[in-house]
Formats: sequence, structure tokens, C-alpha cells
Amino acid sequence: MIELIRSWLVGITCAAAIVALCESLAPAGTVRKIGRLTGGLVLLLAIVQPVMKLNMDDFAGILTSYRVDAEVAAMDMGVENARLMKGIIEEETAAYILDKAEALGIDCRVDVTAAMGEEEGDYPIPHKVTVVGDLTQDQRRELTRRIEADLAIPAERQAYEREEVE
Amino acid sequence: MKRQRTRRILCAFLLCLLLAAPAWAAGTQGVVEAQSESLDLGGLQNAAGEYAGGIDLTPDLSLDQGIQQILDTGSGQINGVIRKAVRSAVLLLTIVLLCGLADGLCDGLGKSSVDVVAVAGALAITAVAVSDVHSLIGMGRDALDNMEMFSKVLLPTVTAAAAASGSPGGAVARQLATMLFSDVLMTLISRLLIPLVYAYIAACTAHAALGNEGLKRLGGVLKWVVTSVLTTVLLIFVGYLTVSGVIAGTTDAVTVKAAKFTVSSVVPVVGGILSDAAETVLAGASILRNAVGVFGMLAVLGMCVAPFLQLGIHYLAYKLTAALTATVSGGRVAGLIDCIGGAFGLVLGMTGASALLLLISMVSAISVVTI
Repeated sequence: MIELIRSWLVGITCAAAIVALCESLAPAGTVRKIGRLTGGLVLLLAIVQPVMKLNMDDFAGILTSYRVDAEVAAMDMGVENARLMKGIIEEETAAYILDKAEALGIDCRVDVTAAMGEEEGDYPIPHKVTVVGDLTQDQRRELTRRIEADLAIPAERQAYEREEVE
Repeated sequence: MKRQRTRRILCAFLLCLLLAAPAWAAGTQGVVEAQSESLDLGGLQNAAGEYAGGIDLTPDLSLDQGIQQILDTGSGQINGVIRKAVRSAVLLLTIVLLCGLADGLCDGLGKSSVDVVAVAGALAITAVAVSDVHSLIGMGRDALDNMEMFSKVLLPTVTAAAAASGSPGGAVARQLATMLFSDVLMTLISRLLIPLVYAYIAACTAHAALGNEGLKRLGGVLKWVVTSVLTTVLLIFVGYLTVSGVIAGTTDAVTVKAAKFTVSSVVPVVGGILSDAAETVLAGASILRNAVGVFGMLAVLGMCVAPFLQLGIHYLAYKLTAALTATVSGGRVAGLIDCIGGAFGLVLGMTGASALLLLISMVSAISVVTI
């Protein structure tokens, strides 16, 4: 680009010098007028020439390389953000289930695993629940129903482990 | 009875709010810490080096405090800079006074075909100014190099933070425009404009010595080319940034709408959880984006403060000296001092244009409202 500008300026300067020399050498009268006109056209050509030489493909290539760099930078935090979101969703879902369990008089521990959606740009959604505690059949049935209804996690993705919770 | 129950519910609600606020803040704090590590803010702090003036890149970074530190740095240097500029001005004034005396003597002896006093005066002024010109242009160049190196670390960091805060399209467009125009401007300055400044000084010196009007015009044209190139690049940059920002902003708005639609399409409780999680992550990224933007601005200003002071004060000193000498001596010698001051102004303009380009980019990154 700079070379182009430099050669452009040099070209205009050379053309101006040649035109000035020719003008001073030309005899006065009609010949000088024609010389002036020709000189003007030569100068115009020197000014316009680089514009005609410009290769737009090169420019598009340069722009693409800058865009690729910027897009790579923009995706830099994508993985970390997805990990953070997954963590928050798992935590909040577990807190929600624990709250519901407490309301049912259940003393338990809840682990939730979130999974990424199938399509690109989807958020992670609660996928699997593990409830650890000493639950009666009724409590278990009620909690399963609640989780199914509120969180859309089917019974087959809900695991119940019998264990004393401290 | 009913009133008492309402009061209890209200108290419980307020208590929940009071308990939930620190919990949310604590959650956001953890998210911000994780995001800071992912963005490698330590690397950015190191890239800024001493120019950040000891400002720590933390999420609660204060712009006022940073500006105060930069002002303190500037005020610490100002005495030395003024002393140096006054010394140059006194030397120049002495030369002009001596030239005035010599001119009077020559007038008494009769005119020669070559204006010996003007040639000697121009050469003496150039000899005195050459060290200033060399050191100040070098200082401007160093500031430009520092800004270029820093921008290579700063811009991707701001882009990553801005993209994570919910405007990926705008962030990409901003980095593309800033990197492209910054590279174009730096290349133009180092390969074209600084040589043109030297050519401008040479043309002015030659005009002061020989009195050729063509040389004066050539100097004027060179100055016009430098200012026009700087102005044009900045105008095109601002125009491009504005237009591409508007287009990218529309795309981002569509993306946000699609995300909201996705959230609203799931069951309400899950939707609420997703929405909370997304808001926490976006809020963390927004805090970091602002902190990085403010830190970037402060570091760029820190890089510019010394060259700005040196160039600005020398510019004023040379312009004042030119005005004073114009009352004592002929116009050509005073014109040369004025031109050399103008050259400092041009270098100041180049440094300012590069800094402005980065500052505009940072301000545009900070001013995006995503949540």
C-alpha cells in the first residue's frame, strides 16, 4: 500500500517535472498551448493510473485476514463462558430441587448434570439428576413428578441413591 | 390478623432480597475471577508495562484515579520539559538577535548577491533545533511503536470481553476497523509522513536560507499532505466504525432476540435458571470489558503523556519565539522557527491521531449496552 502511494507521488512529481521542462522549452504561441494541454493530460494520467491498477481481490484478502483474527479473538472466551454457564445452571437447578425436597420434608443431597443443546448456540440445560438420601416411596414419587413437571427431566434420567445425609 | 400476616410476608421478602443480593454478587465475583483468568489480564497488564503508571487491572478499576495518576506523572515531568524548551528558545532568540546585528552591519557595508546573514542564520537555527527535532520525532516514534505493540494485546482482549458480554458482531467489527486503520496509520506515519516532516523542515530551512518562494510553497504542500492524510484516515475510521457498528449492532440484536426465544421456549423454571445464568455470565463479561477498556485508555494516555508534554511545550516555545523574533528580525528566520514549531505540531498530530484511534475504539467498546 505504502509502496503504491510512494510510487504514485514519485510518478506525479516526475510527470510534473517533465511537463514543466517541456513547457519551458516549447516556443510561445499555439505550440505552447498544445504542449500545456498535453502536459495536463499526462499529469491527469499520472494521478489516475494507480487507481486503475488497484486490485480489489488483494484488498478483500487483507480484509478477510483481519476479520479472521477478530473472529478468533471474539471466540476466545466462548468455551470458558459455556463452562461457567453450565456450572451456574447445575448449581441453581440443584438448589431448586433441594428447595422442593425440603418442602416435601426430604433431607437429601442433589447433584445435577447439565448438557449442551443439540444445535449450535444452544444453552446448556439440566439433563440428569442424582438425589442422594433416605427417601420413602411416596417422597420419591412426588419428587420425581415435581422434577419432571418443573424441569422437564424425565424419570429415566433421575437417579436415587440411598444414603444417610449428614 | 391479616395486616400482621402481610407484614410478615413483606419482612420475609425483604430478608430474602437482602440475603440474595450478596449471594448474587458473590456468584458474579466468582464468574468475573474465572473470566479474568481466561482473558489473561495479567498478560495485558504486563504489555502496558510502566505506562499504566502502577494502575492495577482489576474489575473495580477507577477512571478518575487513573487519570489522577497520569496527571501526577505529567506534573512531575513538566518542570524539566519547560526548562529544556526555554533553553532552546533563548538560544534561538540569541541567534536571531545576532543575525539582526549582522544584518545591520551588512546593510552598512552594502548588499551582496547572496544573503550571507540569512544563510548563516538559517544554518545556525537548524543546528540548534536539530537535536530537538531528532529527540522529539524519536520520542513521537517511540510512543507510536509502544501504542502499536500494546494495541496488539489490548484489542483482542477487548474483543473477547465484548463478544462475551453479548455483542460479538460489534466486537469483531470494532477490532477489524481498529486493527486495519491502526496498521494503515502506523505504516503511513513511519514510511511516508515522518519522511515528509523531515522534507518539510528541509524545505523550510532552504527557503529561509535562499528565499525561494517555490520552496516555501513546497513546505506548505508537504504540511498540507501530512495533515490531510491524518485527518482523512481518522474520518474514514470514524465513519467505518460507525457504519459497521450499526450493522453489527443489528445482527447482535437479532442474536439476542433468538437467544431470548430459545430461553422462552423451554419450561418456565428452566427458562428462569437459564436466564439467570446467562445474565450472570454477561454481567461478569461486561464488568471486565469496561475494566479492560478503561485500563486500555489509561495505558494509551500514559504512553502519550510524556511525548505530548515534550512536543506540546516545544511547539508553544518555538511558536512564541517565532512571534518574538518577527519583531526583531526579518520574516524568513522567524518563519523558519515557526516552521520547526509546526513540524513538532505535525508529530504531535501523528501521535495524537494514533492515540485517538485507540481511544475511540475503547470508548465505543465501553459504551455498548448489552444487558
